[in-house]
Amino acid sequence: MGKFVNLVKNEYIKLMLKASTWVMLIILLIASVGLSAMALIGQKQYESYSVSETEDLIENYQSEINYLKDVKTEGWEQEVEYNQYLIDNAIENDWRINAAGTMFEIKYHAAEYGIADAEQLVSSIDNAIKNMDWKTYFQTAIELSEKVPVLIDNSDGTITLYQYCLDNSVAPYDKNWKYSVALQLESAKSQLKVFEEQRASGQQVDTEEMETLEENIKKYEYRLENNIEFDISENNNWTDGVFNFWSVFSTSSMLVSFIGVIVIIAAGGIVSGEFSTGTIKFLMINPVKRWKILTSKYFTAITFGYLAMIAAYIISILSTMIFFGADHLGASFTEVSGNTVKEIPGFLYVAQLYLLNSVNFIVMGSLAFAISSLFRSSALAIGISVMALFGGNTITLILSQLQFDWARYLIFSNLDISSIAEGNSMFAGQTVTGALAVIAVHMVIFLLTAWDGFNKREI
Amino acid sequence: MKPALKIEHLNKYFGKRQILHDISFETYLGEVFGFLGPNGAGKTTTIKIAVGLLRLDDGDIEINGKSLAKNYEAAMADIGGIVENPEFYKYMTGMQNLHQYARMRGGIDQKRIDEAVEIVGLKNRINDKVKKYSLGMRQRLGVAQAILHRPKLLILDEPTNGLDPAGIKELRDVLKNVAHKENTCVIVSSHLMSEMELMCDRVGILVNGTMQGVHTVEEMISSSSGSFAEYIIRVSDCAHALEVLDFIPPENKSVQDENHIRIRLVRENAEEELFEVTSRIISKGLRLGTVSPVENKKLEDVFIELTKSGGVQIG
Repeated sequence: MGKFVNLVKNEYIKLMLKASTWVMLIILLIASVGLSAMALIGQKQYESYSVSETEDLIENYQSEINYLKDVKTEGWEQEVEYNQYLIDNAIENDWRINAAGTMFEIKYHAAEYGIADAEQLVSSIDNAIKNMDWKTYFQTAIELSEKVPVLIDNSDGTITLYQYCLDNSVAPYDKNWKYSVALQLESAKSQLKVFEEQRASGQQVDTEEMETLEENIKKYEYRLENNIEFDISENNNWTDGVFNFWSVFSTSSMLVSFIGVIVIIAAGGIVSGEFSTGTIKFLMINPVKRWKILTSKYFTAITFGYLAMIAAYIISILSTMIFFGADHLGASFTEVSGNTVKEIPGFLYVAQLYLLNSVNFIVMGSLAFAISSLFRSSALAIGISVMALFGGNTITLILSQLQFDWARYLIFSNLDISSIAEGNSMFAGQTVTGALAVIAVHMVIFLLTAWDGFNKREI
Repeated sequence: MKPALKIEHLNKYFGKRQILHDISFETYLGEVFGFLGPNGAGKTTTIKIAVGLLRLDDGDIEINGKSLAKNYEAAMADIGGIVENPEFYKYMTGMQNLHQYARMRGGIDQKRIDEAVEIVGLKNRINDKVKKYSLGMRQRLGVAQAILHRPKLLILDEPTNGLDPAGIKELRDVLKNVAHKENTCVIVSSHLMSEMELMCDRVGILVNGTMQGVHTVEEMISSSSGSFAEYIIRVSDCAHALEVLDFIPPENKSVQDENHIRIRLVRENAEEELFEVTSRIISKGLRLGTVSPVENKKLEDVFIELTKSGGVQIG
């Protein structure tokens, strides 16, 4: 054991004394810091696209008015009045727009709905809008929906949402997280209801979509119950235009494929390098069995990848904190499995992302290692493995589109464990167990090849 | 005495071609053993099998009593060596390279490493990167590496390659010291016979993958030059001179050229008889010039004779 530690120490010293290793590590550092810097630039650009929403809306209302004045469809005067009202009161896209709609509906069609106290209602809603008094309006709306369900019904969950806001004193504005979660919850529920009705009437429905909705409902309910303001599952990708610590930090897990290149270079050179410099003879004239030397080399290449990964993880935390602050550091990722909702601490969740991506570099690193000990050529080993690392996905994509079902047994089709676990595999019916089995078979082949190539080699 | 290296019935094939034919020999602690043979005779192949670089297909090798096949790590712990060129990690210093080997062998402290560096005379440059080393310096580093763990058996393949004459002499002294004072068996392979003669106690000759025998250096030289000492003498009249030297049997005297005769005297009485020769020549009125002893046959000549008999086609 002590000897094995010494062998690994030797390999690490060799690796760390090479300039190329440091070049790769510095590029990793730059990529790691650069990723969060790029996210910051992206955020600035994103913000510059989205001009003030209020101005935008008012412009919309105005152009609607101009259009109505132009075409003069039936009842256009009323429409113009409504839009003018929106402009006059600078009404944004929140509860007030619904309130204004209801108000005008009552104002012009009270008779059709059989509403007696129309005038009083209108002025009460008008006051509520002007005073931002959502409570009064919600109360009014709830009462109306009981009396005149045709005017306001609860099919889209609006009334339930209003009731929730009143019961819990949740102000109905988007920046209030409870309101937006409640809104999403009601919207999901109503969508699910539509699906269920369709299914009941014998129509084909997208069951996957339904499952997602069910999961989301559970998740939103859980968040409201447990008062979870920030959920990483809603913030795990900056490319959705969400820029915060967690969205940027979780995106940094893509650095792992770059670490894959580092591992391939290390694994592809660690055996063949000894042959090309002639040092292999001096390495072998030692009281150490060959397989021990080979094992120490493999161990070094793979653990080096993990050390680089830990470094990338830590540097990404620091650089993301610098660029995006440290809000919600204690946040969790909520995950629905079956009937229960789990909270995965954020740092653990991102570590899982990194680890899932590392499957790729273990397999490709082992491939490079095998080629390197079989052909004693680091160029060949690195070339083939990097090609496999980046091209493998394309190859399976093409094969799956050509309907070659056997391609499901290719190593490339089985590396994206997280997608397979989510059911988004490239071939129908792939399972995590199956993928792990395919990976295991390939690893055994690679490592036996390396072992055979090295142990029996005459030097 | 227990042999440091015992090779028994070693055969080696590369594909269908047989490279080594039933090789057996033993070497002992405290001796420098020269492993001689022309290029392509199989010296390096034999050495590579002994140090575990090539597979032992057929035959037995024991190092200090431990079987290489059955007890690899224990057997290898007693071996140090350089095979072919001394190649090191060029991006490391000489010292860093030695630490690599020290870690693999265990039980070597910094004091021993410094000692080995001192022995090979690389003290002043040991902290330079190996890429700045000359071939000779790398050869020295190779020897330091090989003796680091005080192996019982030190195998050096062509160790004088790249050394200047002074370096060769130093290496010779180092190896003799290691063998005789530290009671190590040193095996040195070479095709340079003159060197072997100065360095080795015994030599084994390998030709075309076959051992032609193992002899002490003295044995080899005396066996072929016999018990005679030879002299070339300058005289004024060669024919007359031979007549005058009637006490020498005719097969031991001849005319070398116009001005020289060649005589062979029994080595035991050579000094006495040489007085007789010179005084007789002078007393008969002949003029006597220089008397030069003919150098003993060098190992090189013996080697060439031996290998001729075995054939020198590179096999």
